[in-house]
Amino acid sequence: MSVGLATRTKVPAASIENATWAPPDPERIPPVVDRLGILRLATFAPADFVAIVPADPVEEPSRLRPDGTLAQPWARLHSLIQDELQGLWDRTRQARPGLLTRSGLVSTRGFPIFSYRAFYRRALDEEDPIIAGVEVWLKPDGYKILGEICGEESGESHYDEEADSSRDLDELQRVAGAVARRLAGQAKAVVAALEEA
Amino acid sequence: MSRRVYRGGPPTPMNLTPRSPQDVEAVADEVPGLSTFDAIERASVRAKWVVEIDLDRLKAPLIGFRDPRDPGHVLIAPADEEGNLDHALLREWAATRDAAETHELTTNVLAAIVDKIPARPR
Repeated sequence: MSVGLATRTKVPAASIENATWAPPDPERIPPVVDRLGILRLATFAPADFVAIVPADPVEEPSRLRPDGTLAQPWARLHSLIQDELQGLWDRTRQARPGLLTRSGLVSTRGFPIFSYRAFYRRALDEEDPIIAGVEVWLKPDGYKILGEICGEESGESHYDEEADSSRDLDELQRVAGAVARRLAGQAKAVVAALEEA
Repeated sequence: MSRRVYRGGPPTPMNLTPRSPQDVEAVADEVPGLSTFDAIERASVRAKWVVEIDLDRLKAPLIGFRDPRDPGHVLIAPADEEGNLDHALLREWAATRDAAETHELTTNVLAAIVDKIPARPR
């Protein structure tokens, strides 16, 4: 018995095309002027894994740029989180040399940003690497921000924190940045998680 | 019948892509596919948080197959025109689990995620 089948016909080519991922092109993100009037280059941290679900142009016109890449301020928030996670990586590999890491970015309608680092003990294809990342979930009255360190397959949580923000994107940036900074201070939790498995 | 299913772990592309061979090669009357459950507690044996997937948001060819041996177990997998498991496409999907490029079926699952919720009351 099957459930959840909208149609049993083959997926049309157009739908397949809509489901493909679009790699972000940092060259196409323009400079922005922040609230202090300081010109900042809107840098976009590269990621090893990128999955961007196409946006509905009517229901969520501001998550992606017309070319399907991440729009500001999401690209800037991803970069901010990755900067903090770079610090976590630096502290973790100091404590336990020989580790490997990869970065990731997922963006969908339900969660506009999940920016993360995967930590591997020995090999990039090993089971249950440790994921440290920050997720921003869309809620009816704002955003829910989650910082978590957990096993990628087991889901076993080694650290987690939850915070809320209004729809104000400056507030979101502050709250998510603070969650990322606290997450970046959890190198001991990452090392313990890696040694536990 | 609930249209929402749950899976433990983070919403990374790897965690939302079936494993090969575990989730691809069926043993006896098992149904292969990406494993989810219609009860939060079953999806979170070790996980503190689960992602909630709305089966109605899955686009063809993905559907949820009920596990005949365990009705609370729902396997997300591609179906052919007759609604049967498309084993070749499932194998192709699982083969991309460690790839840098996200498979379109993984993106399809990501688009159907509607929430992340604590597995137990906080």
